[in-house]
Amino acid sequence: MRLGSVFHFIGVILIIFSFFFLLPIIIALIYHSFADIYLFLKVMSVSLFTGCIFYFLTYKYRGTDIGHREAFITVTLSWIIIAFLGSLPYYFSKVLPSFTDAYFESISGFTTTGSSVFTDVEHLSKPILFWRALTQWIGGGGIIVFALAILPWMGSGGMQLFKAEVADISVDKLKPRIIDTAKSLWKLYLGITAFIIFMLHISGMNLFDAICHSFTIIATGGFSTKNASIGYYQNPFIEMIVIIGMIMGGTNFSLYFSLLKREIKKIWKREEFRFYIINLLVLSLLVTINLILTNSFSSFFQALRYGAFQVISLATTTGLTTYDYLKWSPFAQTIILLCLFLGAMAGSTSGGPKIIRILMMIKHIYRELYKLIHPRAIKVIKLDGKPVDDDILSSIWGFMFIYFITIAIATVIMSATGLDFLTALSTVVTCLNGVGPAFGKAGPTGNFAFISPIGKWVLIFCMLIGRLEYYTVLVLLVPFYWKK
Amino acid sequence: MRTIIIGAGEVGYQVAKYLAIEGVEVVLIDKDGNKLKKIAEELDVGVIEAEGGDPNALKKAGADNADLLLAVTNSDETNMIACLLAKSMFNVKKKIARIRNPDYYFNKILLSKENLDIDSVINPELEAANAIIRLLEIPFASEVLEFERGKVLIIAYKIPENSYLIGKKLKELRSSIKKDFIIGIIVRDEEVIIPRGEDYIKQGDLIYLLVKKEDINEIAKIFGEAEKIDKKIMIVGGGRIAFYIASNIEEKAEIKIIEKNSEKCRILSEKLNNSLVLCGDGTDKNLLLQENIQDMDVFIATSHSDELNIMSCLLAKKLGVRRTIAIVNKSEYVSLAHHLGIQSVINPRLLTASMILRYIRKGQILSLSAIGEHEAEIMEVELEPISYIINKPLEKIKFPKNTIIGIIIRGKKIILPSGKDILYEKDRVIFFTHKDSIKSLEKLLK
Repeated sequence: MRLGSVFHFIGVILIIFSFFFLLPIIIALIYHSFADIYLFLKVMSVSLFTGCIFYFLTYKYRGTDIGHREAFITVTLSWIIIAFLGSLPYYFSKVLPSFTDAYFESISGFTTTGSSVFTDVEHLSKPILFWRALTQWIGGGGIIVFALAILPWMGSGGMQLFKAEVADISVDKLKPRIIDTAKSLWKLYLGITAFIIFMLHISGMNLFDAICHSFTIIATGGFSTKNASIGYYQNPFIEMIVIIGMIMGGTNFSLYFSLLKREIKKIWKREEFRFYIINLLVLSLLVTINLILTNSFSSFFQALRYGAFQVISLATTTGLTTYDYLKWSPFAQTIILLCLFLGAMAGSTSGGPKIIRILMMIKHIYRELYKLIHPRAIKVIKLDGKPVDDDILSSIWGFMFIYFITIAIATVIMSATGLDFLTALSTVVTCLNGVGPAFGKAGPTGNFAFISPIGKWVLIFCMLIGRLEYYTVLVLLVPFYWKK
Repeated sequence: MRTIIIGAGEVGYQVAKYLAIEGVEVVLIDKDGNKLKKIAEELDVGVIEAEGGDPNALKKAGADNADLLLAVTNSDETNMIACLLAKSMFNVKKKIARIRNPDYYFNKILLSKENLDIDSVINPELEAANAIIRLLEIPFASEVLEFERGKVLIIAYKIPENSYLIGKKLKELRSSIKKDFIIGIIVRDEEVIIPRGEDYIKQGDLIYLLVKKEDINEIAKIFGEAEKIDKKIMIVGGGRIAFYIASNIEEKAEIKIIEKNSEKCRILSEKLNNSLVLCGDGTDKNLLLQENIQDMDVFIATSHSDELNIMSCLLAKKLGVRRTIAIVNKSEYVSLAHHLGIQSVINPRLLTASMILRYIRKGQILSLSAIGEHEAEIMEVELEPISYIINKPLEKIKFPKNTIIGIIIRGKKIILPSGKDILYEKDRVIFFTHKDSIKSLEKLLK
């Protein structure tokens, strides 16, 4: 373990990250909010200063490469420190006087969760609101991926860091070189964001809100600039655009490259994509039909409009809302709770176990059943016609085990802090999977402010390991990781 | 005409034997000196002990003025190198190579005129698989030969007990059955007969029946055979033959493949989509019963071991499979396997050898199939303007003994001849002829 090069690289990331604070400063300039200019300048200098200390104290390690062992701690520490720096605007400006709350809000942003401790966001200043949305946008694209995109000198360590942060089932290297992959990912990310801003703006949202919302939509985050979230606008066109945006955010980014190459057929041939879309359709329809049968809405259109929005928002782990689903029937609520568990496609900004793991587990179970009938059969599991290694399958089961164990332990701790079972369970799942709203007092109209500090730190830990998909963080907790 | 054959295996030996008998100058190159010694004692051919891709050996073999190079070693790479050398150093006119690896075989650019320039590429496993697929389409056939790009078929049919055909004279059959067909050869207890109108059909005869493809179903009905295509197929041995068969027909058939080697099973399962791959022994009765062997339409044994193939076919037959097909590489086993009651026996090496011979004799003779142990031939010939037999009615021509005309193909027309018909130049004619009459028939055609 070469901690020197770890800290050196973290220093570099922090220095790059500092420049993101320029964006809220520009917003503050536009709105003549001088207190916020001062605030963000202060935070930016803290950030730059921390980065420089890290960088220069470990200067003799410059040029050393990062191995796969160092990559885990680099990524995890970067996220912890950046979430800390990101919480300073809330803490310094006293909008969140408790540091726990500020850190919770910050990491909820960076992990694209969208659970909030603010009871009223509409009284917040524009630059703070913008910063809240920006944290989600940065977190969705990936801080390390961004750093890799602009650092020309990363060696093979780049791939290790990329893997540790993207932490997906299979890392699609879109280009032969990691720097080019990171670059094209961010370019694409920028392009889709611009597209959503444009669409929201022409549907009637003002430009500031359109920018903030598109940041959280593409990142499948869920922070809104309104207390009533998207429900504030009461505009079906905006809701349509948001639905499309959320689905886009939950789509594997490599599919956009196929789209750019005009290989439309190839996209629909991707089993994961089909499964993703069909899953969203079926769940939406189930809720819609139930809402009509229980007379929650008078017309089919209304039921579909609110039902589909909520299902898609939660199943893509975004968490924007247009309606308080806690008022719906138990069946609809159960489906909504189920949506919290899934996640969208791998290689997207969404959280959760991802639809591909579910698909692979279904295939695996199908094979086991098949083998009961044909004990001697050799059946290779395939995805998109290509064989899937048994190693990947066992890692999926391992992942799901860690996932459920984490839910169980965290739920127990949360209920020890005084929450009822449904609230405890749903807050843990929503934070692990980066969704946002939960059930009970943490539902779509509520917030997370009432949770005790211990509970908040549990959720903070959940958000971090959920975003980095368990292994990157958990490997740091085992003794042999630290042995030479 | 000088021919160089690289690789003195079964294929190289069979072709060398045939060509040597025809009086062609043959040089065999192989790295196994003992094998060459044995062949040199038996055949009148030249032998050189060397690696197949050795340019010096090629030079020594007289590649400078050779007309044909045959590369049939076990290694694709050696075969390709030999052809490349023959092209670039010696300018040999025709090159034929055996290539097994599908990545090479299906690679049009690699084999094109500009690159390797191989005139004819032969893939024995693919040929065997195609022969089996042709068989599967016609459930009552024990052998199927294709002519005119599949429009005309010659089907070998074993006369079962209680067949409608037993005891009938060929003459009667022709007048009672309205469809066009010709019985060209009858194999009865090892004896090969080129039948005349007065001949009878007996139970257990193997008849070679020439029919148009479109009439197959009608003929099957008349013979009292099922028309349906075999759908449930069990294949033992997961090699290339099994893979080619399965990948070709797995969409329309239910296929179960049994292979011993688990690594091979895994690869097969990766490549195939709808076939069931089982890891086990093809002679394991419990496994066969577990997989419902009694419900199978066909059992195909394609493993590398002839003995295993024959035994597993016999086991399958005993367990109730109606139709069995075995791949048998040793030519000595072919008639033995037939005797034991295996309906179809496919010999990839003989298949390869006959493909090569067909290619070598191309020109006047379009295609050629040997029947039995080369007791008779089916020959497709294009008539030349100088031929003795054109422009006169058939009844005026004195054909050699034991030779009949099967069919005349004129442009797109297919004619079953009668005595009044006249042959013209450019007609393609299929003859059935006994081996003793081949020489005189060839003379007649020139």
